[in-house]
Amino acid sequence: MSQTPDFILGDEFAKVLTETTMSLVCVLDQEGRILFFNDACEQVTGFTRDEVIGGDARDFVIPPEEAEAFGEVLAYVSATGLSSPQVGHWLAKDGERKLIAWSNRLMPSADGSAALLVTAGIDLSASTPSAADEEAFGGDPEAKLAEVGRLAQEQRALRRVATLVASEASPERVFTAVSEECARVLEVNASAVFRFEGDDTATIVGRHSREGAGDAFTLGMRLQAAEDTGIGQVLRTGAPARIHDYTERPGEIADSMRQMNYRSSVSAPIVVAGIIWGAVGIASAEPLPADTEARLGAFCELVSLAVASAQAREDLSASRARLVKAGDEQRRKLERNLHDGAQQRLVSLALTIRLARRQLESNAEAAAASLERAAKELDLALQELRELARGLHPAALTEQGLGPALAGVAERLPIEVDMSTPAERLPENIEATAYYIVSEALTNVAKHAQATKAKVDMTLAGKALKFEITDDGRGGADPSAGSGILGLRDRAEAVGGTLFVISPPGKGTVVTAQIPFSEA
Amino acid sequence: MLARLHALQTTQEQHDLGLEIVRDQLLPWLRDSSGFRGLIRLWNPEEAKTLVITLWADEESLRASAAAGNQLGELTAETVGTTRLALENYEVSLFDVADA
Repeated sequence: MSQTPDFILGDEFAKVLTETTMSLVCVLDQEGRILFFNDACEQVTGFTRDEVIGGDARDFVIPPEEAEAFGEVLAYVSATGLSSPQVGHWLAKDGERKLIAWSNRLMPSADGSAALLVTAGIDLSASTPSAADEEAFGGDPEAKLAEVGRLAQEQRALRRVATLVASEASPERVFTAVSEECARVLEVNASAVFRFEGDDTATIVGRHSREGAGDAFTLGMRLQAAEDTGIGQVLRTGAPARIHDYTERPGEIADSMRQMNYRSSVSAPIVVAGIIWGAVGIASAEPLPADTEARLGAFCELVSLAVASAQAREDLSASRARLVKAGDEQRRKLERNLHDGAQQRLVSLALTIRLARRQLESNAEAAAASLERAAKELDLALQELRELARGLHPAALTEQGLGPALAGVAERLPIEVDMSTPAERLPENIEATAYYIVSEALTNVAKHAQATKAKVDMTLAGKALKFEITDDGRGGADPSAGSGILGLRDRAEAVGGTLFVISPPGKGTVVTAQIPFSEA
Repeated sequence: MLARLHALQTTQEQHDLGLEIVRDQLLPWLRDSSGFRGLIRLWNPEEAKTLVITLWADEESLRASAAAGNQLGELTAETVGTTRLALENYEVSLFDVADA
């Protein structure tokens, strides 16, 4: 394979390219100071390098009304390291406004001390429009520019929220950000994020209002999501809803809307895992444009992601807590079993041997009987210790593998078990996890299912072990009711696997699990 | 709090042997028992009588320890060569011990 010679992509190449290209190439530091200004920049603006190098771009080429947006782009690119394509104006030295399409990229400085923003632009105002361009850019250029600017602003707002979601910010922070960005980008008086509570009410979990004090809708407020309200319609239809005019509208929410001088509203659903979780609503003193629902939808999707992500984190955290608790309980149980079982037998054994020693001097027959008792106590103690050890990690699993170890479990159960397991040995942790899940599931069947028989079907599927435990019991096992099924699921998920339970009443129970080798 | 009282007829020698067994073998095990709150052993040489009182947090722990208490108490009495006079349960109506 050929390699690009160093000289082509070296410093000289960059120098020649930036001097000869028709594109504007400008390098800025993170404060917006101009560090590099190529020939094309000089030609388009009329400024010389000597005039602008070291100066703030906002003092030369950025029009005052676009200075804030320029600052936002700088901050965004610096914070995220992502490029942020823009269309905006540059001011030439003679005051003429040039419409320029920019692309940009962050680059480390030569000494690595700071990141520099390399921007490359095309002067759109210089080009002679073709017929197609006329079509695309026809009409009022300023209106088109405003539209491009609006879209760019909306994209930036969505990116800011998306960055928050990606950084796993708390849902509350995302709700607040969404409320603020929606109100700002859609240029409305107020916006709110609602969470449906499952009883025809909704709680305000995010709120932004330009009015500030005296807001009729405050964070934490619970509202009736009645049929004739925007959020009520979202809840019932799952589709965006619009209220054109609150002037004559009845109801508590409409009263508050009038009190705030809001005329119209649009609400859109937040859907999480197929369920209508809530809504984002905006309110305005003016009629809202036709595309408001679609624009609001983009924000709703981000809220959905934030909620789903937070729920996944909560589930993971709860699962970890359950695993730790289950471990603690197992240790406590083991300590109790040792104390009340084998330890008590050994204390009793020590006393019996003392008794036998005393009896030896006077009554050999009684001593022999005591020694017999001691031997029995010792046997029982050993048996109990073996049971406990087997419960911790059966020797048969280490020595012979899953099949024989599970066969041992099945033998001790009062139900018939039909077992099919792979003949080959599997990684130790896979065997241990599968053993725990199957033996626990079979014990549950024997204890709770009122079953006469159970079946274990275990197969290798690529780099995973799949297994299914079925029984002919009463079914109706509820995964959310007890920790048994949850514990099995936690165990499977802890090694990157999955576990599902199907248990219709009267039709037995099926536990299906899959454990991948790579993650286990 | 509840108490289990073991009353035993003991000579000096039997008392000494019983004390050794309780202190070295039974007490370490008792201390790890659920709800165990303490043990008091009383000796009256004139009457040749020993009382062993075990204290338990509640009804559940007293009940849970009953079988072991009976079996080990009887075995201890047999080992020291004495007979148990009584095995009785009590409610502790007042417990006031000054700091040692």
